[in-house]
Amino acid sequence: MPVVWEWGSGFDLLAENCEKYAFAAWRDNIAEGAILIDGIERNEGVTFSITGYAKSPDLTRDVASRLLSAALGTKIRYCSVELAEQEFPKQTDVMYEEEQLAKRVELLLQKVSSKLLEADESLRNRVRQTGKQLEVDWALSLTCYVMSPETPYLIDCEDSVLSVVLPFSKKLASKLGEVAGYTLYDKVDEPIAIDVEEDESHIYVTAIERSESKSGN
Amino acid sequence: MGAGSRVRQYEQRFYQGEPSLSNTREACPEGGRRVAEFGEYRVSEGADGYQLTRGDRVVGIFQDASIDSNRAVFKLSRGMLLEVTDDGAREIFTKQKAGLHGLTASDGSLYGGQPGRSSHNIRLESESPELVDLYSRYFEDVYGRKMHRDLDRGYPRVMIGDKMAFYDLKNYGAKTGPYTWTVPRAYLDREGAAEWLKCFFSGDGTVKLVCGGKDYDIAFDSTCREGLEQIQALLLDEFGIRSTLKPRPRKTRPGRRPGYNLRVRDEVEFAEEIGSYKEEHIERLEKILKKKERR
Repeated sequence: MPVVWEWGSGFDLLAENCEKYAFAAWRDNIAEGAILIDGIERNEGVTFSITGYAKSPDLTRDVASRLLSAALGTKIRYCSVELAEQEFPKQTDVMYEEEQLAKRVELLLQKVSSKLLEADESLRNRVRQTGKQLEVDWALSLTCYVMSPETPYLIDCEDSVLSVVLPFSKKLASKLGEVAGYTLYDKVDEPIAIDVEEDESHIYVTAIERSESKSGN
Repeated sequence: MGAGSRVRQYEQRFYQGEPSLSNTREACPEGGRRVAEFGEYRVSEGADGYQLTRGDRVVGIFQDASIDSNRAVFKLSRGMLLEVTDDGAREIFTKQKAGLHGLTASDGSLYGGQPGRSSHNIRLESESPELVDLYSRYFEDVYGRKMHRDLDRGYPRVMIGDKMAFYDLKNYGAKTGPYTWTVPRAYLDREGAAEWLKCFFSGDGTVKLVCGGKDYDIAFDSTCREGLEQIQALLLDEFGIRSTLKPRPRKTRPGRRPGYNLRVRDEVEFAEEIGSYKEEHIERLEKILKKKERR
């Protein structure tokens, strides 16, 4: 994972470093390079990455410049370049329209809630005894697919509120090309509660995957 | 090399005011009016300033001192203080140095210092001009030099090449590379801890509306998990503020590092005890405090 630029290095160096690295590391067997910018929008705390692709080293500067232009105004934490012998996987079979996302999020949160209740007896009892409504805080990971004449772009944004993450995703996309669709990462294996709070009518649970907890236990 | 070994720097600061580091000078019996005692240490006031002695040895003579019932604090150089309590003596950061260190951990960077390179650059870049100005002010307070200010693609930034300041900050664990900052807890008293947290939060924290604008979330975001764990411990131990650390979910994307989010659970206490210098944060933190008043 070669990081070629990081916050504070001066923006002029971002595209330049990508190109330098690509020319130095590109071999005959390389099929494609992925250029990634990772950052955070600091008013609402949405973390994101934008990935663009180049089929030859002399295209990396242009792709990196477009990524930078799209992300200006945020804190761009770093930029990395990854080279591969095969093309990187991009679009998936299932993509949603913007209007479908709210329903997909609802279904995802239902899935998390039911798995939590199934596995956590004390939470189950607490909900049953108090009659309060369970509200789950689960970080959403939304990917926006953007088409442009030069390269497809993948925008990954993370936040627990769709009404925050979607507009930000669209804002980034508008600077790159046309939105082809969205995917919502909806795999839920073994959610665990890491924080539980209550008010008069709700039980608020912050949940993560067990595999994401520090010990993994 | 650089500003010298850590041990030598410690000695230089700790024994500031001594004619030599031999530690053999005996306290003058008429050393002045006794002001306070903390364990083995005694503070007396004379014509030259405040004399700090340990047993019959003079630790130093200081022009400035702040003394209350719990501790005495003496001003050293480069934004350091000598704190003396019943438990002993230790070096701590001034508020300005704590802030400088905290801002460096969030939006700042130390570049250079590698073998074969002569540059020793200290920089800070931010979308918030108020943070850039604060960094510049604190740098001047601590090291006595003005930073150069300009714009990079619309982002205000300040920078300076200063080998002494570079190694001084580096010696206290300031960030010298990506994802490698630490909380300098050994050098923070309560005021310093609050300032370090406030400055780090101003850069890498968020205050955002949730639940349709009815509530607020306060959180720190970073790719440095160890650093966030240190913040979590500091918030709890020093201020009794609880928080929850969780990973940011990440699509497996080539070249992407894991990220972490530390959500503050005691928002009101955070707004009261820590706060922020960032304008957007201040506005929202005030709303949190007003909400508390209405309760």
